[in-house]
Amino acid sequence: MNKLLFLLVLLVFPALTFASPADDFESVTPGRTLRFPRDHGAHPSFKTEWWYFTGHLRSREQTFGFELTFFRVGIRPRREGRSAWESPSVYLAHFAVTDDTNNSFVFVDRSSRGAFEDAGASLETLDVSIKNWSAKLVGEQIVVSASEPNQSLSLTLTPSKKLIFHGENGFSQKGAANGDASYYTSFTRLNGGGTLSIGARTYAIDQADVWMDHEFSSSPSTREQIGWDWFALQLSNNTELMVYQLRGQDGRPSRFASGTFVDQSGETTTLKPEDFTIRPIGSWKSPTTAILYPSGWELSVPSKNLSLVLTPTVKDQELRTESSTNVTYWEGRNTVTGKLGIENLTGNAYVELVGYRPE
Amino acid sequence: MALGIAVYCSIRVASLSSERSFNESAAMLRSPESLSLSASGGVPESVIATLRSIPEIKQIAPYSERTIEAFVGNKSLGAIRLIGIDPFSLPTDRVSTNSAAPGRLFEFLSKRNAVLLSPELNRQLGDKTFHLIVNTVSQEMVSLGVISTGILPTDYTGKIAFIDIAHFQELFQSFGAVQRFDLTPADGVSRSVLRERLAQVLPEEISIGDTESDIAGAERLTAAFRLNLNFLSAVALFSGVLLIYNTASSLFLKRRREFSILRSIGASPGELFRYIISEAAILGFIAAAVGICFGYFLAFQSVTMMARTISALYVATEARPVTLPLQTVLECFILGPALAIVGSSIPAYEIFYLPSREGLSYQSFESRFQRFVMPLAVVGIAALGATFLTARPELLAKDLRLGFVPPICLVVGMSLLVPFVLRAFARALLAAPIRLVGVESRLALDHVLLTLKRSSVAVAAVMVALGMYLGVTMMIESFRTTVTTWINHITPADIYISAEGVSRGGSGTGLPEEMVEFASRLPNVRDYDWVTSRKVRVDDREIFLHGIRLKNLLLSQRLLFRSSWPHGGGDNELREAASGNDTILISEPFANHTGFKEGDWITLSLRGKKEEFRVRNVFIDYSSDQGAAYISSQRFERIFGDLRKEGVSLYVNGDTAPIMDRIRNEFPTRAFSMRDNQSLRSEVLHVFDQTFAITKALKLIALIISAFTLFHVVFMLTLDRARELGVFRAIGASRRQLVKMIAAESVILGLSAALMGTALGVALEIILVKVIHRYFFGWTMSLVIPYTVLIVTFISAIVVSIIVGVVPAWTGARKIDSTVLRYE
Repeated sequence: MNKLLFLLVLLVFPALTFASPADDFESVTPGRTLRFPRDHGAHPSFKTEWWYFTGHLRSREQTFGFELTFFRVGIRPRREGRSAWESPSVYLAHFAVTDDTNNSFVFVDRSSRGAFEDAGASLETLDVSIKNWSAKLVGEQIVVSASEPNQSLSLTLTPSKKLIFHGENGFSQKGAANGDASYYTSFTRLNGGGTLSIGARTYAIDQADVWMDHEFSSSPSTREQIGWDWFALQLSNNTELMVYQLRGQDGRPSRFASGTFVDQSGETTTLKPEDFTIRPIGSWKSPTTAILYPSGWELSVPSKNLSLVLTPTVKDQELRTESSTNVTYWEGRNTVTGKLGIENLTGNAYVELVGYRPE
Repeated sequence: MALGIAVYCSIRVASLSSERSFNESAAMLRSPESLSLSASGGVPESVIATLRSIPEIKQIAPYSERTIEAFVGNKSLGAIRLIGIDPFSLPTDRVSTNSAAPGRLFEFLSKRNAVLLSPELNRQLGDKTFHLIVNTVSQEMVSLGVISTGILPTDYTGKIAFIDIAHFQELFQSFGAVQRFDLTPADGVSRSVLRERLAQVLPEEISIGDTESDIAGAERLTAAFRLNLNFLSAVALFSGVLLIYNTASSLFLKRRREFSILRSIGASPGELFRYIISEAAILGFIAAAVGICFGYFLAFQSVTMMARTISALYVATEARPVTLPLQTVLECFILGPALAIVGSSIPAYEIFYLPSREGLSYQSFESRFQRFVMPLAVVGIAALGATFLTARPELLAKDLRLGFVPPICLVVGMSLLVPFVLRAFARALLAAPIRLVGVESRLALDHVLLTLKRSSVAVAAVMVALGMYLGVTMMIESFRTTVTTWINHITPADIYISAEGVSRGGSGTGLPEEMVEFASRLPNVRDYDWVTSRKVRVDDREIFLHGIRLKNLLLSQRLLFRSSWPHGGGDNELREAASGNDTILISEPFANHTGFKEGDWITLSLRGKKEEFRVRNVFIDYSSDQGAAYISSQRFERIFGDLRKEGVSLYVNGDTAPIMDRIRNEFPTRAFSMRDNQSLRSEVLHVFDQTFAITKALKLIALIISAFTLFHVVFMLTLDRARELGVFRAIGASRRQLVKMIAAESVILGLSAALMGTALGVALEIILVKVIHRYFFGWTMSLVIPYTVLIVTFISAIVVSIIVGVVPAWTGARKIDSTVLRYE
């Protein structure tokens, strides 16, 4: 997911790469020792950064999904002028809620230049906000909240597994070129509860299973891909799986695909393209944008004996983010059924589909 | 009539254009339901924290604007509007239609000089880059293309460059405040609720406005100016009505045979009246159509001129493309026939509702009028009395429209006096010995008395047209002379240095400190002075607040104080005492509008704080009709945090050229304007002339109307006399005698019209200068009677009337027309 979102930001903001000379920003190099909680915070010397939360929520009667993402995009590595309006970074955020029972999906997006503390991210710890949407590390817990007139969310989460360092101690190579990489960490299972409001109704959330990614980089974009499909699964046997595939100009999956399997103890296995297969088993056409998305997948990881079927809980989970990234994409909650060998398995997943075009 | 309609039409079109421009400027970048915060000298950014705590606010958008001259290479593009915005806080619906790719947004934020352009500026630039001169340094701007659709009206023609608000502040080194904040209410929150909430938490120095109040403000600002124009178009129309009356009278008399036949075959007076009125309405309709075409053509000129005048005098506005609004077309098509009906209904009534014998008899038609001469004169004098009584500022203060009353009373009063004056004049001449005036002249005078009614209307029409022309001409002349006297007094320095572009509509750029230092230390520079300015709001007006070394200003005696106008001078001791930090010197318009006078304490709200000053004196100033004030530079710096020097004046011993050369050589890469005393003065007058371009155009139209009226009136009168001339020829009068007679009559009419027109013109000038402009603009002006203009106009009127009268008479008197004789 991280690589995909990373590319998303760079593709969405192509000028970002060229607006400032690359050497204005720091390059991602191997050997950096990430220290926490400092490295949960912002890294303004790098061009792009995000904190990404997706999760599955259960109230007494209903199930929901949510996405809350904060992006920081560097305009310049450091402050240069006297104007209080100058912000070295701009902030963007998406907030979406899926209501399985009512088959509804609502989303809001925001952007801010970060001036006058309208948005910002701490340099010391996880504390990122844009207006009244925020994610903060308080002690050992992460507090996530977002409030809008028609939907609001407030969760207090505790990591049930240790922090995952992708790649080599968090150095995640993304391409062949030097510096085409990112620093990348994840909490694949944060548990907790809180409240969710949709319209006039407020639900007490008894169980929340949340996935958090944090990634930062200054890597230039690649123009070879038109989009990607990304899957993050939390399975009933307390394992997690993340896989993605990039699609080339012909719309077909390219050689750039990867994945990570996290076992019950939190140990990770990196998956290569040949280690997994993804096959769409249905489609859904957006009535708003006329984009035809795949909908429902068969996903198998033979090396892990996994054979899974993903089904969107709501067909329409399309986000049109005119107020921020100006990208239309599908990102939504799925349920998972399948087998681990001969054993039945269930779970929840978040799927992201980017770069599909109107028919 | 068509000319009158044309003037009306072009003024309406130009007015509507400027109104539309105000509306567009006010509505630009705001959603209709938004509220705006503004404060004198800018809204402090510290208010954001308070605004963020108000849940009724959805979006807070900063907005700052400067008008600045743009250049492509060395060529000026004229003044453009540079607007600082925060692209993240524009109304969402406008961002969504953003045609610029999001990548552009990041270039917009990351490149310091990146701008998005209005379509018109983009069109003018093509693929060329442009630069601005800020603080004498050329700043190359990077165009990212045209601003997205939805931000500006689709057919917007103004020249605007949009820049990020942070870059705007860096460019002008102006931090800590923005011109205004636009606030979008949260969903479901009404403007009135938000307004109430804001009023509770914001200091009273911050005013809460909306799009409508801004438009109303701009309209209020220009109300006096537009009233002046409307008055001129009303006079043009009045002149048209008189012409119609005159033409209708002549035509009806010529057609009395036709009417008699119609009456004798059973047509009732009512039917005939309706017939004539319908005919007049049709003619009025045709006049309206012709007038609209001509007015539309005139509007192309007047729109640009009016935009220039309004921009120079009031607020930055752009000339909109000329569109002819349906409303104006309808107004013209109603006005044309309506005024034609008004103009022709009186003669029509006289012909058809009076006994046939009287109506159809030429003499009785006129003789009845003799009885009305005196009553009309009495009413005329009463109207003149009303002019005198209503020409008072107190009445104008109640309602601006009352400004119409004195000139209208004057025009009507003078018109009603015409028959009396003309009769008295003719009788006086008749009383003179016959060898002085000659037989032909006596006959001419007899004829004037016999046709007093039509002659009076003709003279009145010419008088009004001439009066309008002379009034406007002399008013401009008075103003120009006053400004010349003033500029000569206030510019005693030898060299003036200013930031480039200021004189051509630009504003807000300063001179570098090192330049001021260098210039002031040059040998032969015996003294120097400088000024720094901000536009600040006082009540509903924006005045210029200047920071200056008060003591220097006062000792140099370059301000003309109201108490000593127009001679200057004053007590130096008093001047020295007045240079304290609490001193404020206010301009005459400021004093007149606010009622402050010498010795009063003024509290100004500046940058969100209350500042108290004592009015030490009121000075004469024509640079702004909104007002200006001087305070000490130390106080200015304390309030605004900087002393950006916008103009420097040097007092020099000996020749100015070597000093100017040294300054230029020292700062070869800086762009600034440097003028010696003489060229500064001529430039000021050039700007003045440009500012009054629209009034000058109207003066030209008034001249055309008056010449046309004169031509028409005399020509009609001469044509009317074709039969009479035939009879004269038949009874033995020579052609030469007849021409002499006609010439004499033309002179009498021309002379009367010229005399009364001149009187009317002078009276109008007095009203305009001493009452209306003094109240509307707050300016004391010297009354100037330009005798050359008076004499030239006077002689021209008589010469034109003779030529116009004699030529048809010469042709008409060539032979005896038997049909004419048979008819008589």
